Amino acid sequence: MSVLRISDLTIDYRLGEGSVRAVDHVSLEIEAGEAVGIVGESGCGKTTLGLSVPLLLPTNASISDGQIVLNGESLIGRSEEEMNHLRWKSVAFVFQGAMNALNPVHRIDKQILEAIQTHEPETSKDDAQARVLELIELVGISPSRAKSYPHEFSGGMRQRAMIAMSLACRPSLLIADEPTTALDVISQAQILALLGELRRQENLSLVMISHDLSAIKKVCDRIVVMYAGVIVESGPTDTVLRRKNGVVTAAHPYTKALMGAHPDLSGERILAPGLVGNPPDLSKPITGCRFAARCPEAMEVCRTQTPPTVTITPGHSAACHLAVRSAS
Amino acid sequence: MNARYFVRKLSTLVVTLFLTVSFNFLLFHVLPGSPVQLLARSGHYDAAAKASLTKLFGLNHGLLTQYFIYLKNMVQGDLGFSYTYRKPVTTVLGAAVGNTVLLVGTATAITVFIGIWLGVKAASRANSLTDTAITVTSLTLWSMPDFFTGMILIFAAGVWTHVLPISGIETPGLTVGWLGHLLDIAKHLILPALTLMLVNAAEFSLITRNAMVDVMVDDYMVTARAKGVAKKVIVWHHALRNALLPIVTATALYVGMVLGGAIQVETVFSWPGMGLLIYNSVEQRDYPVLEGCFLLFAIAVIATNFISDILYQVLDARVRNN
Repeated sequence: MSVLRISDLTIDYRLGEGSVRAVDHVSLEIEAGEAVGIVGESGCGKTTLGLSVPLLLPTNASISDGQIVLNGESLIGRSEEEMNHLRWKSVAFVFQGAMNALNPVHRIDKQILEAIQTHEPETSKDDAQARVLELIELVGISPSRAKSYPHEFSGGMRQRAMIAMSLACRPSLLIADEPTTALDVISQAQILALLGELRRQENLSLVMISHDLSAIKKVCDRIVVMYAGVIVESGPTDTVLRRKNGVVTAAHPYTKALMGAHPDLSGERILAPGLVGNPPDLSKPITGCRFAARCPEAMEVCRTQTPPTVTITPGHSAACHLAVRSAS
Repeated sequence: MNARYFVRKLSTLVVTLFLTVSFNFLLFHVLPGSPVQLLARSGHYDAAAKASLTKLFGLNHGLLTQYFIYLKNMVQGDLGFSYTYRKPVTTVLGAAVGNTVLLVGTATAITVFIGIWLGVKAASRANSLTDTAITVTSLTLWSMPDFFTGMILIFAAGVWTHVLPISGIETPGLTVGWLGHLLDIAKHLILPALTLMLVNAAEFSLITRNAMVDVMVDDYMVTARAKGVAKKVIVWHHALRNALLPIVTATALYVGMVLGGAIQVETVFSWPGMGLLIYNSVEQRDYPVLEGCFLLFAIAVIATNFISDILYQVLDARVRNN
């Protein structure tokens, strides 16, 4: 059974007079125990998509269409109180703990304890505290540091504390939003290793939101590429991100451009070409493919018709007219 | 508690106090006109009388000598002699201090709680009707001078309805037991305290609201919501704890403001505290009493700032470690 099923989800932000469609009819399914990475540049809707699952969108955002089904239960339309029971217990978050995601005036152990006590009032304080120490040890922090304040931790340790907190109520789904951003490379590697290890050990379903392809490659089974509010490509990480002797199996030119912006350490030394231009204005309706204006391979049809999503190989699909052409 | 921080703040306090005392001394010596001139205005004093008055007040010494005598006397608890009351300044102040503490203390305690509560309510429903109502009312009340609000209350209570006494601290010649006496004072306290509260609670609610609104959009607030913590707990436990720092700063500054306000309010309501004493002493050019009052006010403000510095330590671990 799938842990999370998002279908046709559409999210609009009210901005002044108009509105911006941040997520446009997105469908996504996460199987139990699966790790899925969502990648895309800033403003593509990946964080909005993540926050929508526990219905934590900002007040100016509204879900105009679609369904979110978590563990078989439909979430949209539920009251705050009902959602508060599901939050953290069914779906927990790893925010950018290195930044400001931990409350600066409360001790780390107290913040983790709060999660347990909120959801399990029947657990005694001693038991809950014992679990806090276990969690802190699990993520590789010495329990003697449990009573520290966030500012007494390094960025990497704060991120570990955030992960420990996310596991406090044994969630069935973990959403990690940019878990390694603002960390140095060594801490990044350690946090990614920890996430990969924990998800196997605890049999977690994981959604990792990132703009870092190599981070997703390290942890995730499947990758979903978003551009301007839609999913443009999805498939097994190994297939989508394969790069051998300059030959890529990614189907969408946007995915290829993302990979191009990220030079291969073992390959030839080239200057990353980058991607010219900006994403389209999402406050206006878009005809044709959203990427057409920046696409080096754009054809006539791309500017007039929205590309359908086609299956390239089982489990690997892309929304691109080029893929349509090569499939037929 | 970090001992070094405490010592540093304490030495700051001592230096500030010394500077204030010195400034206080200088201020009254650069003011034009001497008390002797003032007493001799009638023209009936001859030169010999003036000279003996000058000697009596110690004004025949040089400024520096006078300063050291002033410091020495102050350390010994002697703040001089009042020209108008013909009593030591300490005695005159002693009678007034308690009344001001009663008025300002009552008003402050209630102000802080009501102000914070209103500010939290407004911020937790930012941009709602409740928020607008609280903000607009607060702004209106805050922009009114204390004496004006006081006069409106006097008009409402004294002219229209006659429900509350509008002047003094007790009813003269009232013979009731100690409980009746206490109730009588409480009744007299209501209007002046209410005046101070209306103005200052408005200020507090605005400061609290703005501090809260800033905090409510911080990343850790999303974390708290994602944890499924109830909104009430988020607002009071997560947000207010972080918003308290600017509120504590405001409280420290507030003490200075409220003492200034007390001068107006006590004058309007004839409340026999330090505010009324200052007003009367200015009219009478009773410099020793004024010096004493200024000194006490300065001590109150400096002490409150010291307390707020220490409170910072308790509230925020980041201050504690730096």
